[in-house]
Amino acid sequence: MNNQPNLDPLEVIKVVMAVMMSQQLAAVVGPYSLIFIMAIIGSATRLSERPRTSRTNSFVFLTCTSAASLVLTVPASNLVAAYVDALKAEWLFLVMAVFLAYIADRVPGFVVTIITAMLGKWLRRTETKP
Amino acid sequence: MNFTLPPLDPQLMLFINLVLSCIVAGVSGCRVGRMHQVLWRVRIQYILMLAMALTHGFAPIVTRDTVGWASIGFAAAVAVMLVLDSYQWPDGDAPAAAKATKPAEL
Repeated sequence: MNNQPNLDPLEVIKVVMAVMMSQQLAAVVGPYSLIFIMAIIGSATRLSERPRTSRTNSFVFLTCTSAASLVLTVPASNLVAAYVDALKAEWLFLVMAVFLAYIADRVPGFVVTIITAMLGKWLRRTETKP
Repeated sequence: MNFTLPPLDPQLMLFINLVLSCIVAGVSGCRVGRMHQVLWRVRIQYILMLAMALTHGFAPIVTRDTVGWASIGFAAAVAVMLVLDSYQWPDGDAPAAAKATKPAEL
């Protein structure tokens, strides 16, 4: 019996690619890969608006914002779909991925803006009541 | 006459395609990071190039497509074009023609 692993680099590449690009894996991560591609579009758009930065910082920014968008897209879409009956969460995934990646580095300011707008609306409503 | 390219293991073709696509995505990502004050149409070129290079590299997962010699050849052509085009980006700066211009002072 020969249990020695084959250390030929080409054989290793073949095995790694067979696992990485398998149909079984694609069935599981396929939808998430599409969300990731859309998140890359959003984060690259945001990156192009930021001041000039180094290659390393660009890579870190793209990776972090895309990862954040990847994690938050499905919960955020479900949240929006729960409030808007006409929408299904699946319809929102790609748009939400782009949006979340685009605002990823401005989330605190964005949240403050939304809260301020909601508070303003609530205050105006209470002021008009007799 | 029956001419065909030499057969290559599909996994190796996937690997070559992934490497070429990562080169394209890497160059595009670096340039996107230096596009402050660059025209929008130039930004869109590189943003789409970045996203589609990743889609192409991971095609078996994203779109469940197979990769052939034509795909590899095209990815290689784009990678070579971007690398040889680097003379237009001295020190990583966008070419002057790509930068947003201000209206002429009166």
